Amino acid sequence: MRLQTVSSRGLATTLKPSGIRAGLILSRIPIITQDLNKLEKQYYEYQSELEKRLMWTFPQYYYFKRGTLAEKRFLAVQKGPVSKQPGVWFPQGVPDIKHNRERRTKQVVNLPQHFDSAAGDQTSDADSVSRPIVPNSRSTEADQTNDVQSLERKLSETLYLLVKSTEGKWRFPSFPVAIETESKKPLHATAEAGLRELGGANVNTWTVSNTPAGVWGAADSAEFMIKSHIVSGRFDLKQKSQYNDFAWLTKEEIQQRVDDAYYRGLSCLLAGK
Amino acid sequence: MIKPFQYFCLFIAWKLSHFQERHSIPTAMIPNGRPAMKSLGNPVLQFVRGKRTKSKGTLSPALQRAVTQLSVMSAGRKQPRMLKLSREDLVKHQTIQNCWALYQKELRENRNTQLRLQYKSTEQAMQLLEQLDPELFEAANASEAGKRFPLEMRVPTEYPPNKIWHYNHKTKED
Repeated sequence: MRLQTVSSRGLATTLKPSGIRAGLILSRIPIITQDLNKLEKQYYEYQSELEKRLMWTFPQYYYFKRGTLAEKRFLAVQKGPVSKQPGVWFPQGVPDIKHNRERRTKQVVNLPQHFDSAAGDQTSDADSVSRPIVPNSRSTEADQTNDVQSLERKLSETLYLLVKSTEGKWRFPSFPVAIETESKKPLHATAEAGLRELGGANVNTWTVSNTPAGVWGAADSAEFMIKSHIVSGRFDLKQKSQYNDFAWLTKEEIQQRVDDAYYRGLSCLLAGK
Repeated sequence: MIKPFQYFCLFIAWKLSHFQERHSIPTAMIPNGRPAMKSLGNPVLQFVRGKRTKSKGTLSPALQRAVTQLSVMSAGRKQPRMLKLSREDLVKHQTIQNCWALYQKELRENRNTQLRLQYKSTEQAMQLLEQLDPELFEAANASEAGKRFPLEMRVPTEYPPNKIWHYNHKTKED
């Protein structure tokens, strides 16, 4: 069996000087969690409300020592429950209070806002420990300007590096594999080296596996796709002879740019909707 | 008219005087410091608070602490009231849960088909590579035991970090 494959390979190399190419699917993994759709949003909201309703009474005595200022401040912002009185009609239902908590409904725990009262001195706010927590925006500047060459776009989705060949076709970058025995390198090494040659050396990538994840094309011009992640660094097109443009695209955008057969062949390797 | 309480006080004073006579206790031991014989004439006993010799409860402090901790841990007083759904609400709840289970099933099936396709794709690629170039096939099939994820890779978070991407990476010269 081995002998047979070697002999057939020998025949192939003599006839055609190896059309094998090493393709590279370079991805930027998502930086933020994926956006929730309507169903997920509603379901999580429902579950969170259920959980709040079934939550045990907040053990305030555990977090605040009795008689401290912190306890006073905490108690000042709590809205106490309505207590049960004999001979009084309660339109909202008869109160059922234990440990200063209305047991029929969820317990609302208010946290004292330290920074609101001290809004006057905004000069030392940047380093202040008690400054309000403001999360960064989930959409970035690159999203607004639709800068497809930026790695900071579409933070919630996986982006893939696509290059535009001089014929005007969008493809994953691919590099010819050397045929000579002395300079022969495995597929993933060829792909990584080719990427650095194409886009500059200052890029930090992590190859998932030596094994190709897929193949595009037939025997004479087979393109073996190697998967890799970009961890940090910048990709800038240095050589413009073979490719003249590049973009970081999501799966949906890839479908719009590449031709149908190419997308259908490789779409199972891509993450996204 | 004498009230029952006064009767009681009188009785105490009378008892005390008899007790003293029998056991000859010195008058200094009596709480108000006055001779007990005079209290016969003025039967209202004055109580003076002395030094407290016991802590609040009758339990020792360590035992008291254990009791407090147990009562803090006990569930009964901290649990909310049981959630009793009406029939309609129960049906609504079950519908929501069924919907979610269906949605999850759909996602799971999509994921499984994609994984199967990916496996097929790899298999096909390796078969073709074996035919075309056995050397490259051996290299692609080499064991990768001990391979690790890079430390710089981060897990997706709810909101982006202050510096989203580190563009100025410099490759070390070997």
